[in-house]
Amino acid sequence: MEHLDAVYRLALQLARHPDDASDLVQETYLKALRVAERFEERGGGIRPWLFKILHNVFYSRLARDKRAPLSVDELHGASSDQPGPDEPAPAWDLSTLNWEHVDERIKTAIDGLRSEYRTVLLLWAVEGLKYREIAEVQEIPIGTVMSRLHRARSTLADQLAEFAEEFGHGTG
Amino acid sequence: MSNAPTAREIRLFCDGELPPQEAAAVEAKLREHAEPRARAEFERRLRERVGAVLKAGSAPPAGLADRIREAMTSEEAWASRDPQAGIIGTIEPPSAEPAPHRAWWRGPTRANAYAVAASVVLVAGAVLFGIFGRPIDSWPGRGTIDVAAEAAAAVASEHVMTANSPAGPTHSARYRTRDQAASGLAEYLGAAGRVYDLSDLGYAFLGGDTCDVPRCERGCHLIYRRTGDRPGLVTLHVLPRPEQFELHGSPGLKAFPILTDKITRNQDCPKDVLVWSHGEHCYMLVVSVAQDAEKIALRMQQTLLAGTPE
Repeated sequence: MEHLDAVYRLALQLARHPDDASDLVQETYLKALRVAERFEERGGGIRPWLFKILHNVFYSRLARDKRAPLSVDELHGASSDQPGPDEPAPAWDLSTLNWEHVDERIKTAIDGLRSEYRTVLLLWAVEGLKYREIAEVQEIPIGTVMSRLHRARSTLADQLAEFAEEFGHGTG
Repeated sequence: MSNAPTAREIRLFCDGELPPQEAAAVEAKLREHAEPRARAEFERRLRERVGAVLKAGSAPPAGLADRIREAMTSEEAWASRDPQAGIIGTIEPPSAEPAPHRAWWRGPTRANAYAVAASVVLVAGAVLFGIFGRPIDSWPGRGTIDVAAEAAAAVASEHVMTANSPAGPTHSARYRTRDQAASGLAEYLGAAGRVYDLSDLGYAFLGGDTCDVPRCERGCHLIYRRTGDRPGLVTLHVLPRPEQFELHGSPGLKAFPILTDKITRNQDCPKDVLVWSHGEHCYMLVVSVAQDAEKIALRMQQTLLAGTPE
């Protein structure tokens, strides 16, 4: 199962819990097996197709429970279908950031993002998918992919700016 | 610096999303300008670190692959699949185990007979239930979550229609001032209702009216609007008989996602209907500017709990 790691990674970002993620992955492979004849090679191999099935399985489960109200903890952040606006250059010197110590801050910032932002980041940064492929996996417009990626990266950049300020990196 | 690439161009360039000609142009510009070059380097390093962070600690549990293989072998379809095709090619087939045993009732000739028998039993059951069963009117009502969700969906739809009304959000409002609305609510709902002052948050009271909400005898809504750089619309529906909206779990604030793609004109799109109940009323709040929603809801709740006059 050469794609198991990647599929599990995405499942974990969606479900946030290892047991739920394992269930999701199993259901994804079973579903893939049942609909294998529908797979069409579009140049990206089987991995994006498995991601798409996983995504559908996850949101189908959510839809089953969609009448259950969400906690207000899930209410932060906003989404838009518009690509992110251009933004001015940051006021701090990016080139002097000490990248050796940023991982923990990046991890905290990613954990604070909503799942739709986390999954776009994962598909982009780890799996190396193009915007179009991410849009197909998530069944959203490409503009929404760009918007989510823009917001997620801006959030991370803000966190790194704070980090640089706190530790005196990159304030020049 | 006018020739320098924009932040958006830099990101698209770094992500490999620009056509070759545009990518070459951005690359040339980056060679000329130090600050955008630093930004491009920042984007590259950020992607690298995000990838590393997301990859770390996300290996699947040791037994997962075996568990999936086991589940796949129990799939009846497995035996009839071409092991060279599609997904199968990436998953090792089970070792020389016998094909799964076919359940006795799945025999091709028996299946039809059982299907016919099952259909006859179902039809007969339905007919008998129709004759001797309880009338539908005596069935218990739907769950409170369903009722609240249906009302929340109607409230969300009302909000979107109000925001997009070409004649303005309050063209036919019955109550034009907060005082009129307060006495109108009290008269119409049969108990004192609150008309909040949100002016310190930039929202002006526009008006209020009575309205119909599914499964409610009557209801009222209040409309607030903020203009300027960050326009927003707030609608608050006040509904009687909170017992039918009583939600599972804590009696606090609940959020029903708005499952619509309709964007309100010149405004952000509301994300949730926030619902809570207090005393004799249930409150359903929709705020176009998502960041303001929780703030306004908690403010209204606290006002209710404190019993302070508005």
